[in-house]
Amino acid sequence: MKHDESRRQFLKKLASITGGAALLSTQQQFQLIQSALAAKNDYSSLSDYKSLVCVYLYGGNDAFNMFVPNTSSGYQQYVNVRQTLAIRQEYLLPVAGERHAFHPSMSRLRNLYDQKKMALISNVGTLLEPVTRSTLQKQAVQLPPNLYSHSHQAEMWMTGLPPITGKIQHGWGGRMFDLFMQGLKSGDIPPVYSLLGNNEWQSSVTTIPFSINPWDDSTGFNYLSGKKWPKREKSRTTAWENILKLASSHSNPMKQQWASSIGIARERLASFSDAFAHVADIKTSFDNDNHLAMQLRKVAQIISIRKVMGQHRQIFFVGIGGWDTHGQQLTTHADLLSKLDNALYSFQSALAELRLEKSVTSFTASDFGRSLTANGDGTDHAWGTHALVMGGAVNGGQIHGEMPQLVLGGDDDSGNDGRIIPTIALDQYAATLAKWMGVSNSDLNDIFPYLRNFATSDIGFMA
Amino acid sequence: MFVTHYSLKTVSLFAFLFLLISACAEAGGGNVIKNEGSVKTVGNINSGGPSNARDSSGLLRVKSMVSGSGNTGGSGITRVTGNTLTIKSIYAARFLTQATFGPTADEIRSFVQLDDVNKWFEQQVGATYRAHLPYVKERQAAIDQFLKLEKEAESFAYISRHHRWWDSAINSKAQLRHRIAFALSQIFVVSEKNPNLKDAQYALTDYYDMLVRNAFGNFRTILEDVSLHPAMGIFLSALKNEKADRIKNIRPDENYAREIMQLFSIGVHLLNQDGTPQLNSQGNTIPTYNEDLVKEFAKVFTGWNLAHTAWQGHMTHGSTTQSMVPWNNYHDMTEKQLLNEQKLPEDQKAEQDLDAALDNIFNHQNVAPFISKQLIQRFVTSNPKPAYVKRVANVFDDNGNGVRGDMLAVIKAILLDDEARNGAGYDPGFGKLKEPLLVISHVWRALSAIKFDRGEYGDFPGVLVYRIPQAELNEFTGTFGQGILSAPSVFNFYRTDYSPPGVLREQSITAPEFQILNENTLANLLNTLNWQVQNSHTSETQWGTTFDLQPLFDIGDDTKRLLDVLNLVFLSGQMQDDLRQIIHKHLNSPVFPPGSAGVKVRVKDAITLVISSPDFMVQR
Repeated sequence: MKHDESRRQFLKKLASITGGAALLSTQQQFQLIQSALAAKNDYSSLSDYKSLVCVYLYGGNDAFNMFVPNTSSGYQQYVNVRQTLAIRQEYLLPVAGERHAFHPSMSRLRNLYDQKKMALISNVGTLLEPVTRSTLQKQAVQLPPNLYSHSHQAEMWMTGLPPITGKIQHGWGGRMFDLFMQGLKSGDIPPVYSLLGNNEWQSSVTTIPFSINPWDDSTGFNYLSGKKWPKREKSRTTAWENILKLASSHSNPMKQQWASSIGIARERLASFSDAFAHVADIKTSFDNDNHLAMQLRKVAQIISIRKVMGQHRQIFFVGIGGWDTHGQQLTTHADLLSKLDNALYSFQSALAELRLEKSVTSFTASDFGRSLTANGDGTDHAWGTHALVMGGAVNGGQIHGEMPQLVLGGDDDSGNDGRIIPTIALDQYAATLAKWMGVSNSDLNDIFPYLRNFATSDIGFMA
Repeated sequence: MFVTHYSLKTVSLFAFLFLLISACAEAGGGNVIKNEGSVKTVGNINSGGPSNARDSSGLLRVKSMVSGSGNTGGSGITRVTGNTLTIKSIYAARFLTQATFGPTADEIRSFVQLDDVNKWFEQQVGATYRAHLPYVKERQAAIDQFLKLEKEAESFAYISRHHRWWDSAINSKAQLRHRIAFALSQIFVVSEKNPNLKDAQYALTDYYDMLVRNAFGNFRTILEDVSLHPAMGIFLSALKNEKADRIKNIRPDENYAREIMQLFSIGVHLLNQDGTPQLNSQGNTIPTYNEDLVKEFAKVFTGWNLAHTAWQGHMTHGSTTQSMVPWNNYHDMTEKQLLNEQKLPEDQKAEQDLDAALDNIFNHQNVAPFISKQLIQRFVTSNPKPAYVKRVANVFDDNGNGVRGDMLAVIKAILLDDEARNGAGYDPGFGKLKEPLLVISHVWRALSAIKFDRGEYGDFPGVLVYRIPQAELNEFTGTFGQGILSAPSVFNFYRTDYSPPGVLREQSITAPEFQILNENTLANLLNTLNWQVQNSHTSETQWGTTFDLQPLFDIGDDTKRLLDVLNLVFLSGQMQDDLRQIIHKHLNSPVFPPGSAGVKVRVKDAITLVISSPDFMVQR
């Protein structure tokens, strides 16, 4: 308990320190953390390797067409409500037991599911507290703000916090990592990688994610990286460094921030380039034309050099856009699911090559699910959705949570348009993953302030 | 006429000079700069001289600017008779940085000569410009032929669309018009990243043409043209949106109804005229609309189809460049509830409902502050003082002649406001991080980017305009974080209230452009520009667009002049002594070859150091 208290105070202190000065280089951050620690903490004793990969599906995945009831009554219920958008039963890919089936585009993931390496988490969504149709109708319950707005819901999925106008909040991935930063060996590169640029999930107090391009191996700032020779570049580089230093004495905060970003980038790119020389030669093929596959390929490569970088815990952010299928849903969704299927399967195969299947867990996240009712050839923004969790440590081949009744105006409907009320909160979903990463129960409640409103903090899909 | 009671907030020379200018200008945003005796220029500015016919005007003019001798060109270094940096040239450089795709020495000189910013606006409004679509369609034949395609492949028109945009940004005389369209494209976002728009490149091209055409028009017209454009109809799925059908479980698509309010007009909560949010008695923000209202507006946007096609047809058959047309069989004819308690009666046709609904949105009290603040952020500063927002919003509400939504008046109010003209002098928080496309355009314009009309393997001759080895022009979003009509979603490249962790977030300073800044985009941006600089006038020019640095080589021996020019064109005259000294020190180091070879690389290094500095990247 005393230990937890000191950690909380440490984080508060850290926030005030890092906030008040120009952004620290990662080296400085580590030094700060090491010196601020009074006593040994839980996370420094981690010696095993684990990482999380967040696969973000931008726009709101229509998961009710991704994973479909396959019993005769279940399928009938589905068809009744989905009508023109229903997938024909003969095309669906049933899982073992045949009570449910995957969308026709997902043959590889269906196989992983049957091999128990993938689980289906049913009806997850943003909640502040449990909601039922009746408490909703009585307006007796707190709801997340702006429920059907992309930007607000995506933010909530990434931060675990209700969005507040004008306030930038840190991500739950980032908050998780603020804890792990204590226990990790000092290095120049934070174990927080994004393959899709800046994102809210990984934003935190202590670190900004390291952004990597899936294709190029950026090595640094050309013409401005002279170490000794040629002399002209060395002199030019020194001049540049001096110019950057000026920014901290100028009173303009934007210039300070920019110069600081350069400083961080230089350090990271140099260290990463050195480490990447040791990358494993992964034989699994990844589809060049599939952007998600290319991102995951890079993730596998980075995982293969984790020891060189001294990283026991890592988090990765990858993603794919286009899921906001208001129109043209049948073809668009099929195409996207095919890309997801292909990319995730390649990734899991690469992990098998690296013998790390049990150490890496991938999970999907999306703004929201979509309405059961259609608007012609597409669906609208809704609420509860299904998620996929993949990895050797997953309790796969099963559904976690309850499958909702796909009935308009039924008990699971928030209204009459088929916007299903989630039965698992995002907090619970995320906390289960964070717990697997090693976060203690008390810290889970700090990271997820609304978690205590729900019955359980562990859905049970991780072994 | 000196105004002596003006309080000096800094003691820097330039700030003092700026204050003199503002004191002589009209209150509330001066719009006349007169060459009166009280504003003393330091040295001569060449006010004449024959013009040289040249494709892209860049630093060719430097010589005549510093020499005052009116030479037409040619080699040789002319003697210095005056200073590059004067109050007027500095004013011009800063103004043009805010109002165009980047100042050139030529345009700084013209601006100073004109000596009347109102006349500059008149010229800009009257400047000719060309729509891109005819060109893009005409070039498509060349692309189809090169790719040996049997029929027109519109999906490949992204090549000419992007290249044509860059041609306009760098070379068009209608700079302000294009700059406004660029700003509008970040509010009324459509994007080729959307799978349904990816191949509809003619639609995207025409959509941008529409924004260019409307740049000096009225906001109400923009709302309508955007709402009825096929690109938007496809992007936010208003196209072929149908009234409710209970039996088939169909209800009207809410996408456009939501986003037209959330992003294109009023935002999610009520604002004061100065852009700050209104708060209720508990200190919470007040929503502008709820889900029911979204549903009501969804009913408005029903019954619209592409021209020249049936209702039941593929999404992109029919005209993707003409305005959508109404099909009243599919239009919801029920009563509709709008903003501010307005109701639309039943049995109105699609076009009647649309007209009334757009009026309803247009007249909402939020539009002026919501739109004005974002436009200020695109042109001038990320953190405008509330009073600045209010002054501009007031002009949006009424341009002085009883007209609401006058875009030209709003843009003038933004650019001529005291905060825009003089904020750098008194506010350390003033300014914005330049967005990647404007960093690139600024450098390309100032340094006379050389056109490069062939691809790596000689592909698409006659279509390409510029080329860089680091990325194709249409891949800029992935490479630099930003590309034209290429945002990741309808939420543009960055949120308008973003603040990066570190000193900015600690001080609650908004800086949207930092949201796309990371190791990847930073390195790519500097590496690309410095590749271009360092490889100019070498055999590497065969690989891509580089610069014509001859005019700088011509004065490269005189470090002071060289740095003065770079200071003016890139830093709007704000180069501080310590920065200058650092560059000087490098240029004087014994690391350069002798003679003219040394001059050339010194010039290149000076440019590299200036454009790689925080002082260039942050526009003030």
